[in-house]
Amino acid sequence: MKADIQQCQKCGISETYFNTIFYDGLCGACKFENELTDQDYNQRTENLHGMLTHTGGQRKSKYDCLIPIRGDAEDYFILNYIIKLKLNPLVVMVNNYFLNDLAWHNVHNMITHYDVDSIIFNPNINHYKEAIRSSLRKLDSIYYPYKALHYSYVIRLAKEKGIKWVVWGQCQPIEFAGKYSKRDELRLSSWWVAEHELGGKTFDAFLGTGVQLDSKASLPYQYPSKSVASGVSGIFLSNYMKWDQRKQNEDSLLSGFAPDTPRNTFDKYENAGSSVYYQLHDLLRVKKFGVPKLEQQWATEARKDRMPICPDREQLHRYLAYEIDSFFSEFLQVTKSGYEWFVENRLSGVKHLLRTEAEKQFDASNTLPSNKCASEFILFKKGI
Amino acid sequence: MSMRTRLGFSVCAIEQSLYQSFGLGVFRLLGEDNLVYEHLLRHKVDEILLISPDIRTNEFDKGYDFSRLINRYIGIPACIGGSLTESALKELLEWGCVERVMFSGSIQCKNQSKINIVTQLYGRQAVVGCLALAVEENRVWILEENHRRYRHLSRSDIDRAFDLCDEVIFQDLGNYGKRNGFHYDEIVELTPYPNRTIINGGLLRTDLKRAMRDGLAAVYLDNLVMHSES
Repeated sequence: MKADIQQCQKCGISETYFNTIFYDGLCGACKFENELTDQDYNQRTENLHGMLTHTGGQRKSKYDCLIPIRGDAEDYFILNYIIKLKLNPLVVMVNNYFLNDLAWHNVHNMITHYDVDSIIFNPNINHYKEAIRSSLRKLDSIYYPYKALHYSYVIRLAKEKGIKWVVWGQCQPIEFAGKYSKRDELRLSSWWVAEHELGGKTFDAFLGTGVQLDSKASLPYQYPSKSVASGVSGIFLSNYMKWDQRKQNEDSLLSGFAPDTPRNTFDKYENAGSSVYYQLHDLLRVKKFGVPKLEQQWATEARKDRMPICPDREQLHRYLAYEIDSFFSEFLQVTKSGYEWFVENRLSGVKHLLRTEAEKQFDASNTLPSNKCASEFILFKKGI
Repeated sequence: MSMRTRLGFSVCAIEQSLYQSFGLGVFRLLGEDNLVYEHLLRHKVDEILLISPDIRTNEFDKGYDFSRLINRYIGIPACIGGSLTESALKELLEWGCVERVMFSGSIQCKNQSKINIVTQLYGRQAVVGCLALAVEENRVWILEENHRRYRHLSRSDIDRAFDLCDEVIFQDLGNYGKRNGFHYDEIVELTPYPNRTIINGGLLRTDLKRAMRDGLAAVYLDNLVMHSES
């Protein structure tokens, strides 16, 4: 089976992920990596500034743009960039209830450090948990409800506040899959969210039968109608500039960002402070695609010649060790026997990765001092 | 008084999925066909043009599985084009799952057997022509039937297309999938029948407004539809 899976000759990313397109042995992301010259980037950045600062005399809000955050280092970069342009952003966060105290520290530190207005939306926890149980059962995903809610809430809020631009950071189909060229003008839309964030399944299709959410409870998860979404434009910063996630993330330390001590990755910045992202969420990714998030991160570093080529999946699995029982006991409040049933019946192909120690560890010299969380799941925490 | 300019969407279809073309030979996945059809309903487009790219000139094993149209209700009148055998075309028309058929190569060559099939079964109102064009050095070029090179577009190319077809798509291939805008001034002035003319390829909102003002039959959007909410 291994021999049949194509890997990029430059970065090692495999073809199984995110519709990666290959061009004569190179993945799309490597092919397009140096597609634009510095002059092209300057032009694109200039276009971006023009778009964001041009009000056309019809400014409806005191805010210039909306910045959705999740509390990781990328948010610091986006916010810093927008503030340097002398724009006034509104920061919005949808609480996914997966964050630990470290992530909340990073969220509150960012808001106070940059002194920006913010809104944190806490969805109805009972409906949210029901949606997670259902998406775990139907789609092998615990992030699906959060993603659906996140995008729909942000677009609704932008409309409500009269804000034209929603600024997202990294465009994953560009940076990881090379599905698009940076020359393509990409915009967030209902189709974009369904195809790239929700695995091709709209929330209506997900609801189908068996999800115990009535129409009122499911409404916040539904992408807004066209009449609501029109007039709001979602753009990706990485569509307009040379994007170096790691370097940008490292800069966040200067603003008080606290890096994580994550398992199953060497990256202390991306999704720092999430109790599930590199645990159950990643394990489900391995179940579905055969590869962890680590593959994308490793391949990105290899693409920039900072790490050797990403090894094949068999080697990658040696770095993995998942401990997922706290999600079932603390978050979903499932009984021990329920958890064991799930592992036996739904995770049978990957249950060998449920272990306390991985076979291989990352070189500590490649990482920075970081922090450990005190509490895994915090339903809501206010203050620093 | 002219009829309302219709709004359409053109998309490439390969196997079971739909793709956005970014010019000749560059395709980016939009997703499984059902997902895209669902989103087109959201945009209230009047019609959809499904083009199955020629597998002789593109690196695909198969064209679109048009039989999927037989078992699906799209809810949008569909016009199809691209590589189809005569028997497959006949079957689709007999099932009644498409409204119109688009021809680009056939309107340039002598063999018009496929056009005749459509005319016999559905009438000439179901025949749509397509002139695949590029504008360079202020001149308009047409892609030849074999898709290998461009030549200058002549008046006879246009007249022949309108003689054979009910409506003709003037497709700006050089701007297809991009946001550069359609070569409106150079291309639209060539049509003798605005009310039988469809424009397609890189259209922006400004082009739409001009098309409505000029009474064109329809505009077929591409990239703008999926990356926009207005």
